Amino acid sequence: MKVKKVTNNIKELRFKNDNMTQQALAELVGCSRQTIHVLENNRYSPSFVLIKKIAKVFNVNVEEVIQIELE
Amino acid sequence: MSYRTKMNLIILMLQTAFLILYSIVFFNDVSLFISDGTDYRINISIIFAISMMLYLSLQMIMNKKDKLDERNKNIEARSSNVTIVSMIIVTFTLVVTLYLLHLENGSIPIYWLWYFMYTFISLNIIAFTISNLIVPLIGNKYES
Repeated sequence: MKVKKVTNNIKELRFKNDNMTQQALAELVGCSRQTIHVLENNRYSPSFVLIKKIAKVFNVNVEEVIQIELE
Repeated sequence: MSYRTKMNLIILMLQTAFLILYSIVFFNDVSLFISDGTDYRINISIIFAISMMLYLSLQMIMNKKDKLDERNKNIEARSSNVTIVSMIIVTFTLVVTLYLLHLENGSIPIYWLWYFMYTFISLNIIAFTISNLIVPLIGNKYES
């Protein structure tokens, strides 16, 4: 089973939440701003824990943060 | 350019400078054909001690200001793997070269071992730092 497509809504969720900056989100979830940046650009495969933390910050489900399509 | 990238570049430049510096000291104080001479060892030891203190200080400053998150730990783990493999190759190449150069003599001059002792540590740090700079550019993408 391979990963076909991965998308995420982190940038949109940030803008919907008072235009939260990457730095602010990074501080809330306990990672660096650089990690949030590469995450938004799909250049980093995060751990489930990190995605769960981001989902909790925005009060949404994990599926609303990241969408993975498998073959 | 991120803070960690800048710090890694500074560490790389400093370690390379120190490596070149004590290589110059070593090759100027000791001729390849003379086995005597103790000054080069003291000089290299002092330079090496300074370089290690600087390296450790910069590491502490970097990790204090930019804490290691899961991505940075992942990068450092992958960099460690690259460093191990590259240093195995470098060690093998250097030792074989030394062996072949002194095959007829039947023995290797001791000062070469002293030089390699310091060189390998600096090369390790340099290889690790270069990997830390290159691995983020490759990225850790989703499997495909």
